[in-house]
Amino acid sequence: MGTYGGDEVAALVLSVGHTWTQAGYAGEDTPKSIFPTSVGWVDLPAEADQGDDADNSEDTQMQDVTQDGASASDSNHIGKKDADGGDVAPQPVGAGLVPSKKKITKRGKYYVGDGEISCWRPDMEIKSPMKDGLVEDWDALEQIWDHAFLKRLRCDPTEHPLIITESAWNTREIREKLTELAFEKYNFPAFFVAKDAVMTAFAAGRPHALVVDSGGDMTSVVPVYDGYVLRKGIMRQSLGGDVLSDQVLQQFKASDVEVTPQYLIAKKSPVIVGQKPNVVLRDRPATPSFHKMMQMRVLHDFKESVCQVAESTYNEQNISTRPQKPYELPDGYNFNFGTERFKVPEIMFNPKEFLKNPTPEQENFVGLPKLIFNSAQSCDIDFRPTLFGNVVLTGGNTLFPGFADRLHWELNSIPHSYKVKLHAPGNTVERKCGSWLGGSIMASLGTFHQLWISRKEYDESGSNIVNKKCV
Amino acid sequence: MATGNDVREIFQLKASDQVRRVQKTERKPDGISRELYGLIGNNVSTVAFNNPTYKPKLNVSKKAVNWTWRPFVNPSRDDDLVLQHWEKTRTDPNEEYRFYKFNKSINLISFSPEEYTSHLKDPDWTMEETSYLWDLCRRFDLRWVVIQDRYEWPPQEADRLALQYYNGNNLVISENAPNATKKEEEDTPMKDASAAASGSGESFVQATLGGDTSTSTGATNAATATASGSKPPTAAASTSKAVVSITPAKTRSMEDLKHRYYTISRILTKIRMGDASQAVEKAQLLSSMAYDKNREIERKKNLEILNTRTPEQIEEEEALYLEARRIDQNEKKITRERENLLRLLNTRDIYGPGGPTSAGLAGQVGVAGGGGPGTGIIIPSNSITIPSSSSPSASGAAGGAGGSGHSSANGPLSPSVGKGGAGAATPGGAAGASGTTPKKRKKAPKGSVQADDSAPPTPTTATSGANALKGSSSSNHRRPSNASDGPGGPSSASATLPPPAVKKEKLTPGAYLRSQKMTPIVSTKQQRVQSALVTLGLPFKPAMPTATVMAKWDQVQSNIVTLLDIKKQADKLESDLKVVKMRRGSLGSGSSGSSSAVTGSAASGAGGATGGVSLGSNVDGNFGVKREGTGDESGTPGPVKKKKRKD
Ligand SMILES: Nc1ncnc2c1ncn2[C@@H]1O[C@H](COP(=O)(O)OP(=O)(O)OP(=O)(O)O)[C@@H](O)[C@H]1O
Ligand SMILES: [Mg+2]
Repeated sequence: MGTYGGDEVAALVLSVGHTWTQAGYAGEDTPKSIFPTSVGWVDLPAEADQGDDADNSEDTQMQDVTQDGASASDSNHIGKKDADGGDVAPQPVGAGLVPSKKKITKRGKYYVGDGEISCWRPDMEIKSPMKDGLVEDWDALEQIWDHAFLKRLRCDPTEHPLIITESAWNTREIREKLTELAFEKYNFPAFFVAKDAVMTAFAAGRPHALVVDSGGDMTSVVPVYDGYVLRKGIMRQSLGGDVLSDQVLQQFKASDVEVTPQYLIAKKSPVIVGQKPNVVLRDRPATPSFHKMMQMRVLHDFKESVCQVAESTYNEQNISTRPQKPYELPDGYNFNFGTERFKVPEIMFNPKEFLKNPTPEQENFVGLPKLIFNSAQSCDIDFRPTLFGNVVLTGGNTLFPGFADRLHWELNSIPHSYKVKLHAPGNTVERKCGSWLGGSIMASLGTFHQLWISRKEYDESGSNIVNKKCV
Repeated sequence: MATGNDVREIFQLKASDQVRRVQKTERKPDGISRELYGLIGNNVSTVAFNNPTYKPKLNVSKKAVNWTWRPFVNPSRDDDLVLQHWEKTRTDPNEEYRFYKFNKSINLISFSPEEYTSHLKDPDWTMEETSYLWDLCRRFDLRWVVIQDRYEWPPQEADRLALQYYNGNNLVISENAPNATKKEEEDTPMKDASAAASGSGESFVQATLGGDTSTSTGATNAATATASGSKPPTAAASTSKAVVSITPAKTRSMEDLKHRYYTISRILTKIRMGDASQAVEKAQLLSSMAYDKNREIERKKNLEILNTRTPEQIEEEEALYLEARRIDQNEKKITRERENLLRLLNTRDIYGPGGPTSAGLAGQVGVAGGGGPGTGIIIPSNSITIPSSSSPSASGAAGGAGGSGHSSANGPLSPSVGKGGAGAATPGGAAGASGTTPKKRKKAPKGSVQADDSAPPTPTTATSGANALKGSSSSNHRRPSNASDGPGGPSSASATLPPPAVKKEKLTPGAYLRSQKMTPIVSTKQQRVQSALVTLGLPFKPAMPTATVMAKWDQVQSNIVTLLDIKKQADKLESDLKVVKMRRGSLGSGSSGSSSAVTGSAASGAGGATGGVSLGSNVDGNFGVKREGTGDESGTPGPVKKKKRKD
């Protein structure tokens, strides 16, 4: 036991990304629960709870009503206590640790979890609390935390220390608010905020690393020195899996193919390759955000099952000799995809050329190799060889077949005299949950326990203690 | 295939039932684990067998160890956070936390304000900044990469507070003010801070940066206040303003920081360890703190250069390196070749007058002496290189130049060598003195123009005068060398017949055939010598082998051998030259000039063997033609002439 330095204190590890939220116990090798970070929100008339229809069973409604009553007083109480929410949205319930899937506020109702948000409701808006690695919507974030701790892990927060991961460029204010949330609302006995890049490096067993993380809405390169993020070397751009999926959508549009999500399809019959689908649609009016999310799911699936990265430079001739892959959309339309399936992930390496109809912001995107190179270049010259020797690849968007090979190839073809070593876990879970895993490892180390922010410290110093202890 | 059983059957033996299949299992060597040996040993089976040999036994006799979920306190913490973990029940609950011993921090030498003012002052640093550096060093345990990354002077308020928090109250300087600020900060409701920040990290940072600038320019500290949450400038804020001295925002390189740190550490060590008893320890400490900033900067700059080489540069560098290695390795071979060459040339002189021979050697030495050993070697090699088509006329010029040259011996020579200045004159003169005629000839072609500059005769006159001069010019060539050697005697010798070769005749006892006295020719050369004889119109064997004829014959033969050798060398060098030229590419007139000089010299070098013209055409055309050429030039010096004379 002493040999590996572990000492479990039953800590919880939570990692909220733009796309996925991962929650579990420290010391385990996979998160107990992974669910989408997006939440559904239905506006409700102040008193009458009529939002749900056919999809929701009657008794859920009943529950909602009862909870509504109970929580109204709760939220009022909290509302008085923390007045910082502004007038945008009053503080939702939560202090009462009542496991409740559907949070009721005065004005509406949240839906969290895969099953809930993908269920069609006419007025349900979908939103993600995270943007560019920063928390944007605190109400939604609270829903996520509630869901993770109370619905999924079903634990008593007062019994477990909590460690969460944050992006390397997180702001002071956000961390302070997170700290406040952890101590004020959930009463965790101890809390810690770790940088996801450092945690990823940890999971890869490296104190020094150049962490390349390409997730849903961000791609970032972060140099890590002995467990510390080097702020000056952080490079990031909002080019991630979502942009790629969006490009797929544009491709489909250009070839006049409609992407119809599952929830709209009542009946379909098989058609031959390339033919218009033969489908009967349902009349299900939905909010644009819901429709978009459902469409994106289809596109993500298409992308994840069909697309591939050319192992060395993109060469149309070589690519066209590669085997095509068939894919069938939910409405029955099917096609064999050849060069198209290589073009999409190519955006990561050569956005200038492959990104169609870029927005002004997107025009400034640079290829991933360049981003990595720039990041390393902004570090001390003595440290660069170490960085190049410890490039750690993480994030769902790097899971395209051939991605790691290509990146390695590209990094070697930029002129420099360093030896490039790419660490890319072959295990999908490890690649997607790198930062969670690092948190899990770190929070179960005996030497780590002196770093926790305790309740007492929080009470004494206030929430900005987090900026003093977690650097 | 026949098995053992088949064989037994054939011999009608009883099938042995004890055909035990002896499974030869080699013993696994010690030190290799069984699994590994299974993979690499010679008993590798294609199918992995998975029959576990280890059978877990239920140990009923031993009692299971009890574990308890037990609270513990970590002494590394200064609060009393109680966490829970599993422990063996039988361990003492009051035992110190197992991981406490890993809580180590580095020992920084800290300084007091008094010490600072008396010893550590630096015009480039304020005390505040220095102590900020110290805080960072302590905070990040001297991880310089991180320190440099986080270094920001003047620091953001929040950063400063965080540092202070970490370093506890052992701050040396500006104790009070920051504390006040800190308290103030804590009192400020959190919400204000977050409300002030618009949520975007950048904008926040920008605001703070602006604050730093304004602070540094001496404006009020309002901006700092903004950073810590848009509160109005309060008393605390103004105190903190007093603390943050008015320094322009600086960017400090890692070298700056390290330099400051190590300098101070060294000074403090020196002051504190005044004791003689600690001298050794002190010296050790000091040497561990040595830091040469400029060298570091230089080193990093060079590293940068090294790392920003383009692939072409790297390639070129590698090619050059290989070339250098090759040259290094070939050096021996090349010098050996040159020696051979020299020997070749000198041996020719053996047939010349006794004087010149020694003069030749002396001349070579002289060359070496004149131009330094390097040039000394190079010059002879140049002189031997390849003939060019221009050589025929050149030889005339050479004669002319030589003719005129003897009056102003050094004049024509120096340009031909291709290096100006007095230094050139020396080797040139030496070359002339060496009496290796080729050298002088060589000069002529390339140097003819130059020679005209220094020496009166124009090319035309030189050529026209060449015939007239020929006889004398050749002797003139020799002359300087002889002259330098001493008595002028040899001149007459070269004009007429050279004295008979100094060849000792072996006295064979008894009667012998004259033909036995013929110097045998190496079989590999025999054929070529014979064909040369044919072109000369000579029979393979002299019809009338009298003593004189035989002597001549021998001479002719050995001359032919020498000639062939030289020709071979010339060919080789010419092809070498071609390769070099090709490599040099189009380097314009400069290179062509020098190369023509080389060619010219080559021509004359070769000419030395046969007589000026002949070798030039020798290489190009057939042997016979030259022969005629040589014949014309009766005045040409050297053994060839003798050959002609003979026929
Ligand atoms: N096998 C796959 N092939 C290609 N892309 C994939 C694959 N699996 C997931 N992705 C993409 O990866 C993205 C999600 O990555 P990840 O789970 O790392 O996001 P996240 O960490 O939640 O987001 P972020 O890091 O931006 O906050 C999605 O866009 C998804 O389409
Ligand atoms: Mg991520």
